[in-house]
Amino acid sequence: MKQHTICPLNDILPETGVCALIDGKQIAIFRTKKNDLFAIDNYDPFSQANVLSRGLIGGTTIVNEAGMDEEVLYVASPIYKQRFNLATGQCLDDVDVTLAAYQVTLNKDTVMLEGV
Amino acid sequence: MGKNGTIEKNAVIKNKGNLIVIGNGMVGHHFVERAIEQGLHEQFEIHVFAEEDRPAYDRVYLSSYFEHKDASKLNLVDLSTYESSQIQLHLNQQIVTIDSANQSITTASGEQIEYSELVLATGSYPFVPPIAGREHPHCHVYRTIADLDDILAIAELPKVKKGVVVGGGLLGLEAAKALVTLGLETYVVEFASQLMGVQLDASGGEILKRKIEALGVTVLTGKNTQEIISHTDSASDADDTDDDARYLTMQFADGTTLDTDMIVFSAGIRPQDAIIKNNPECGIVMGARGGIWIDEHCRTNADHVYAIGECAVWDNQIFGLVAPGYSMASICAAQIAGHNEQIFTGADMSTKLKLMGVDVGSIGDAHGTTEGGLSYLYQNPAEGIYKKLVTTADNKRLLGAVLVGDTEDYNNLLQLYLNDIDLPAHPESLILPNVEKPMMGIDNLPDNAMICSCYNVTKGSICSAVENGAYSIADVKAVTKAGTGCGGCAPMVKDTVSYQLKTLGFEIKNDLCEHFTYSRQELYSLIRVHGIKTFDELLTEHGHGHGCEICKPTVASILASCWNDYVLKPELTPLQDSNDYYLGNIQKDGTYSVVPRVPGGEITADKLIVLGQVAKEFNLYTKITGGQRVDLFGARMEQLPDIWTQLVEAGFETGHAYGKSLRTVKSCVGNDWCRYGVDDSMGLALRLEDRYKGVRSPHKIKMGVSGCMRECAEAQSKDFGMIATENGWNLFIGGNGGITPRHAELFATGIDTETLVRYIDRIIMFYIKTADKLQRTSKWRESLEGGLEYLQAVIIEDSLGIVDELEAQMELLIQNYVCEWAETINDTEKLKRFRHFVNSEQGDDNVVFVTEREQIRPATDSEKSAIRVVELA
Repeated sequence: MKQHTICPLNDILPETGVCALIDGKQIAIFRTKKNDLFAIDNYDPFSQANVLSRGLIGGTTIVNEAGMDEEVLYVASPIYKQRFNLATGQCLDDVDVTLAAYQVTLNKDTVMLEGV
Repeated sequence: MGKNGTIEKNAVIKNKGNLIVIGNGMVGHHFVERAIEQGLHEQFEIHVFAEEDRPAYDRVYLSSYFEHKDASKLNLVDLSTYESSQIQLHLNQQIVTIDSANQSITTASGEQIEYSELVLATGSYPFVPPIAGREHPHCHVYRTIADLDDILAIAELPKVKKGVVVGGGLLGLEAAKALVTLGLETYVVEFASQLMGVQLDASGGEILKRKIEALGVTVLTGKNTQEIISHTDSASDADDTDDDARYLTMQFADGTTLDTDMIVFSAGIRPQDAIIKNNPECGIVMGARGGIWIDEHCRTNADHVYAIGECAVWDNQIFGLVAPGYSMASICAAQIAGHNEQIFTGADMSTKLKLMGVDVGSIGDAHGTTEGGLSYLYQNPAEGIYKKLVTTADNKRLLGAVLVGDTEDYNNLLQLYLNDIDLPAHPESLILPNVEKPMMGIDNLPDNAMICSCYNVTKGSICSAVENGAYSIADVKAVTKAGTGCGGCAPMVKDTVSYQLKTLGFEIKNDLCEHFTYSRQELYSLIRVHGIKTFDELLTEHGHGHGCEICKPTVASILASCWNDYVLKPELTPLQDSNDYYLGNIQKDGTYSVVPRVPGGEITADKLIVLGQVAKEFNLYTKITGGQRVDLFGARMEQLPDIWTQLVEAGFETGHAYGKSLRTVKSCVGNDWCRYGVDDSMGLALRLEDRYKGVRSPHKIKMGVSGCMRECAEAQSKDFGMIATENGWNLFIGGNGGITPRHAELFATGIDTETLVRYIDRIIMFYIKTADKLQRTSKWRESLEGGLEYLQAVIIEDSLGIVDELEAQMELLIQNYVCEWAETINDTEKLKRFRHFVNSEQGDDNVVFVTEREQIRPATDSEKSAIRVVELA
C-alpha cells in the first residue's frame, strides 16, 4: 500500500488538526494530547466546505456495539458543529453520514498516511 | 389474511370505496394527514380535489410571500406521503354538483364519481362589497398565491405608487403590511369606526390605529365606499404629463374622495358553500347566513357527507381560524374511522398576533358585553400600550381581555380564562407594569389545560409524554407535536416539561457538559480561587474525560477574562474555536472575514485608503457594518497574515469581531460637529473602546454613546448605552438587538465620565464572574434575583463589598492587552498554521467566488459546477 509523507509531527500542535493534500484529495489529520494520530476527510458534507481540520477535538462516552461504555474522540465542524468520530469517520449526529477514515502512522518524527 | 397475498390484496382494492375530499387548503390537507393516521387510506381509495393549481399551502404566513417570493416555502404537502399512501390529488378540478341520494359528485368537466364518504373542506372566499367599479383590473382580493402574484404585478408597474386596503380587520392589516413591503404609499379604509372591531374594543382599536399610522400607513375609519371611478386612460397617458395622476378615485358616502393606484379588498370572508347553494336538490342543509350545517361529529344532514373548516357552520357559528378547522379535521377523520368519542364543542377565538410589528391580543369577551362584568384598564399613551381585563361581577373569574402594544401577559391570562381559575385578590395586578405579577404556575393548571392550541395538546398529554421518556423539549415536540404550529406556546411547553421533570424527581442540572459537573459561574470561581492557568490543569483537578467543543472555548474565555493571556499561547491555542484560532470569523465557505478596529467609526482618509487598497489587492468583498466598521470578506486562511501585516503597518488593530468580547462602541458625532450635541460622544466612545478592547466575556458586548437625547447612536439597544444630558451621562444597561431584542434599562443618571467608567468596569467584571455560558447581558440582568435594584446596590452602593476587587481585576485585563494580530504576525511559528495544506502551498479549490454588484460572493453549488465545466473546456 502506498505511503505518503505528510509533515514533521511538530507541524501539528497537540490537540489540533491540519489539512493535507494527497493526490488532489483533502484529508484532515489530527494529533491528540496523547500524541495519537487520526485522519478523515476534510470536506464537511453539512456545510459543503473543506474545514474539518479546523474543528475542535472533543471526547464523548457512547455505548458501543458490545453494550459497553466507550470514550470516542471526535472533531466538531467549525461551521454547523456536527461531530465526526476521528477513528471511523462516522457522524455522531446523523447516522446516515460517514466520512472516509485513513490510516495514519508515525515514522520516527514524520507523519505518514497510508492508502488513499 | 388469506394464503395467497396477491389475490387478497386485489380483492381488497376491488371492495375499496372512494373517500372524496373536496378542497386542499390547510384544513383539507390536515384532514388527509389525520386520515392516513387513522389508516383510512387502506380502507378507502382517497381522492382529493383542489380548485387551485397547487397543493395545500400555509395561508397563515401568506404575507411572507412578498418577502421571499418563493411559493415552495409555504407548501404544506409532502407529495411523496400522498403518493406512498396512494392518495390521488386532482389539482385544477372544480366539483360542481353533489348527488347525495346516489352518493356521487360531478366535476366541472362532467365526470361523475361515486363516493362512500364525502368530506367538504371548501373553505371560504373573500367578501367584496358590492361597490360600483370594483371590477377594475387594479382591484384585487387577498386570499391565494395567485392573488398575490396579481397584486405584485400591478405594484411593479412604474406608475403605481399608492395602494388602499378596504377592511381594517385582521386580514386587512396583513394586506396593508404587504403593500408597505411592496413600497407603496398605503391606506387602510374601514367601514366601522375602529380597527379590528371583532377582537378589540374602541380604545384598543384607537391605540392600534395610532401605532399603525406611526408606521406610515394612513388609516381612515368610518368610510363607506360608494363608487370606484377609473382613470385608466389618463394614468397610462400620464407617462410624460402628470406624474401625480392616479388610476382610481374612491368616492365615499360622506362626500370625500381618495385617489389610489390599486385597491385590495379584505373585508372579511364568506363560507365557500356554492356547491350546496347552486344545487338545492342535493338536500344538504345550510346555516341561516350561509355555510354548511354540521353536528358535533362534523356530519351534515346527508348520510356520509361531512364538512370541516371555514365552510362549516356549527351552532350558528363559522370559525375563521385554522385551529378549530384542524380540530374538525381530526374529529371527522376519527368519525369516518368509526371512533366517535371525539366531538366538536366550539372553539376559543382568542388570538395573539403581531400586526405590522404591533402586538395585539384578544381574549374572550373583549368588548365586556357580559352582564355585570367589570373592566380594568391600563393605558400608557407614551408607549402606545393599552390593556383591559373583563372579570365577573364578583371579581373571581376572567371573562376577557384586550392587549395592544404589549402582549407579554397573554399566555398567563389565556390560561386563567380557559381554565376558569380563581383570579388573585387584585386582578388589576395582572396587567399593571412594574408590579410582581401573580404568574400562572404550571402546577396550578388542570391536566386538560390547552398548552398548544394548534395541535390540541394539553398539559396532561405533555406530562405523560415526559413520563414516558421524552425528557427533552425536542423529544416532547416530536411525540406530541406541541409547539410545532405557530410556536407561540414554546415558553409554556418548556415550563411544562421542566415542571414534569421536577415532579418526577429529576434534578435540572446546570452542568457545563459531560466533562465538568459545574456551571460556568462555578468554573469561573474555581479558576479564580485556585489561580488555574490552563485547561489541562482544570480538567485534571476538577473534571474528567477529554474535554469538548463546549467546555474548551468556555474555559478559554474564562481564562482570558481572568488573566488575559495571549489566546494563541501553545497551551491555550487548542481550546479556541475556529474564529479565535484564526483570529477571524469563519464564513459559510470556510473563508474568513477581516475586521480591523475603527473606534467610533472615526477614520482618517489615509487609513480609509489603506483599507481600500488591501481589499483591492486581495479581492475582498467590502461592506460598512452596522457597527461603524469596515468588513472585508472572502479572505482565504493563507491570506490572513499578509492582509494583517499591511493593516498593522498602517496602524490598525484587530477589531475582535471573532471573539466573545467588546465589539464596537457606536457613536454619533457629538458636540464637535452636531448643532444639538450636548457632550463629547466621540471622545467618550473612543475612550471606552480603547479601555475595554480585547476583554473576553461570556458573550459579545456592544456599546453606544449618544451626544444628546436624540439618540442617533441607538445606545439603548446596546449592552451599555450612554446618553449625554445637561446634567451628565445617563447610563443604560442590558439592551441588545439579538434574537430577542431588548431595550436597555436606565441604570444611573447624570453621572460624570469618571464615575461612568468606574461603573462600567464593575458591571463588566461582575457580569464576567456571574453570567452563564453565552449569556447576554440582557438575559443575565433578567436572571439576577432582586433585579435592577440589586445590581445598582452591588455596583453603586457596594453592598457586597467587592467593587475594589472588580476594578482591580478590570485594571489587570486592560494592562495585559495586546493586539492579537500584531503579536501573531511577528511569530513565525504561529504563522505556519495559516496554510490551507500542511504539505502544499496550494489553496482550497472548493473556495470559488462569483461577481455580484461588482464584488465577490461565494459561488453556489450550481455555479461552482458551471464554473468547473468552463475551466475544463
